[in-house]
Amino acid sequence: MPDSFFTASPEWRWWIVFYFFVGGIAGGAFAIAALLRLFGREVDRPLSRLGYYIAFPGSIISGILLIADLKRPERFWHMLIQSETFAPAFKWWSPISVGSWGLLLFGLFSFLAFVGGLAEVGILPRGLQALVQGGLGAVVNVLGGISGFFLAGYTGVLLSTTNRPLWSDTVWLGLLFLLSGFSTGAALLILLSWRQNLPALAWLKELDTWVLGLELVVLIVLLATVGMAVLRPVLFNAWGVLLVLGVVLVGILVPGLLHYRPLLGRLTVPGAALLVLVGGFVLRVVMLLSSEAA
Amino acid sequence: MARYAMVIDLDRCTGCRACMQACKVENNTPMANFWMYVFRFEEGEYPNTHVWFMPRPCMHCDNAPCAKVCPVGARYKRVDGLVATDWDRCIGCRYCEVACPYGVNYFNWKKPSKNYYLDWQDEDVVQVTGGAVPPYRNPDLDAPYGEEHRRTAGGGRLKGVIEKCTFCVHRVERGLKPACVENCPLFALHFGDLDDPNSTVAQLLRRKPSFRLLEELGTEPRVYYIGGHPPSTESRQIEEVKARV
Ligand code: SF4
Ligand code: SF4
Repeated sequence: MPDSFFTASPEWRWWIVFYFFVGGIAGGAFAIAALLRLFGREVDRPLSRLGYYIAFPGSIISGILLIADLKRPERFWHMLIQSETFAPAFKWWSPISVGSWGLLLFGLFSFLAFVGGLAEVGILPRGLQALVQGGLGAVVNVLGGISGFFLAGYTGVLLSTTNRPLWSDTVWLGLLFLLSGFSTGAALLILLSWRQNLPALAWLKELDTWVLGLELVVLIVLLATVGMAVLRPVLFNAWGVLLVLGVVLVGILVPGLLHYRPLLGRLTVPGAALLVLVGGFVLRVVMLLSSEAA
Repeated sequence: MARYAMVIDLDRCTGCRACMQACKVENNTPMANFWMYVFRFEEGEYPNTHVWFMPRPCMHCDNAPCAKVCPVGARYKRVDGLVATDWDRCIGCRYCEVACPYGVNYFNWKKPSKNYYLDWQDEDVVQVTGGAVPPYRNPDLDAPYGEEHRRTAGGGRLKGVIEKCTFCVHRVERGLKPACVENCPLFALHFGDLDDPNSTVAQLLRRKPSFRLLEELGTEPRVYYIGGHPPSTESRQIEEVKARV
């Protein structure tokens, strides 16, 4: 009898699918922006600013989606503060607890970077650009980048710490979601900046291609290691077809090809980015809902 | 401090489900929520089949995955071994439900008062009862329990929080046994202190070989089974649990 014989589905559905997707993009976009800031050139600043502009709203939307899924949303603060003693509530061994602190920290650093980015272009007082430049800027970028990394990947670990089919049968979901967060973050950056012909665009496309390749490898390893007893009830059905068509073909192979061959003319670059985003979303849908349905 | 445990004698259980009924009455659980559930299994091929029954309360695991993952400490292990749910703290994330390997958590998707197994205001029911409303809300269920003084018995339940078997904490703290144990007509269920060598549970576990459900997962359940074997790939469930609302 499988370990999951007695278990019940938690009915984590669309709010959580969108949370995983948006959180991945926001975390990935910030991490790329931070890398560009820390190791890039002066000319890469517009692209890193775009990363900040994606990350902060993304963190807000992520928080809203996470709270919306709670069935006592008015008690969301219990995740951060103990309701009786008002002491901080932190359980390092509970992925949701760590995740809510991670999201809070990410929200804080992405907010600081967002403000710094607006200051750089003169929308906010120039003095605030120190938030993304110099020593303070490095601290914000490093800590924000780390929390962005974390936000993109912890959601997979959250699923692994359950007793449901597929989720609990693999340790690869965290890495898969992390890579997907990176590729979708890069894709959104490309999609929003391709017209400007920024110098970092070529690097971003190359990064995206590499990450997509890694994602495919991790996905194959994940599927190969869970075993037939899990795959048969969970993915040998319409969900499996969606995984192959929506994630592998549309979200990884076709955009990978488009990065090398401009098959769609001038729309090749945004087209590829759009397909990566579609693939990243379908990946979350399949990974969550296929197990829920099993 | 006692170390509470339950021992279930599978040789004695006839699948009458009186324990499920007793739990419903005692804890007034909503429709289709079975804090205690009796699985009915069949093994072998006709005509050599074997039917057996397996009561399944919350296992009150010593290494409870539900308590580990709960982000707010609403699900926690008490010093006497009971695994409790603080209805006032739960945020309704359902992480405990998905971490528990035994499927014992039930989520209150609806307001439980709208979802009891018998709606006393229902027209058909009123025709029979003449409008009489029994005192079905046990006030003991509303009180706080344990050293932590937290509302962990069934009465505080609300829409949007999780619930499960409490080992009848409100009875145990008064020196009584859980309702299922008290009402099993076949004496298949036993409850007591493992640290007391004279308790029935300690004696039974000394005398008979026992197993715990999905022991290999390392959850260290406080529910022991004697007189039978764990369900295997050969065990077919005779009926599916119709237990989700
Ligand atoms: S049986 Fe499930 S709900 Fe009960 S203590 Fe164990 S893990 Fe928690
Ligand atoms: S549903 Fe409630 S008890 Fe269960 S993990 Fe979430 S907060 Fe904790």
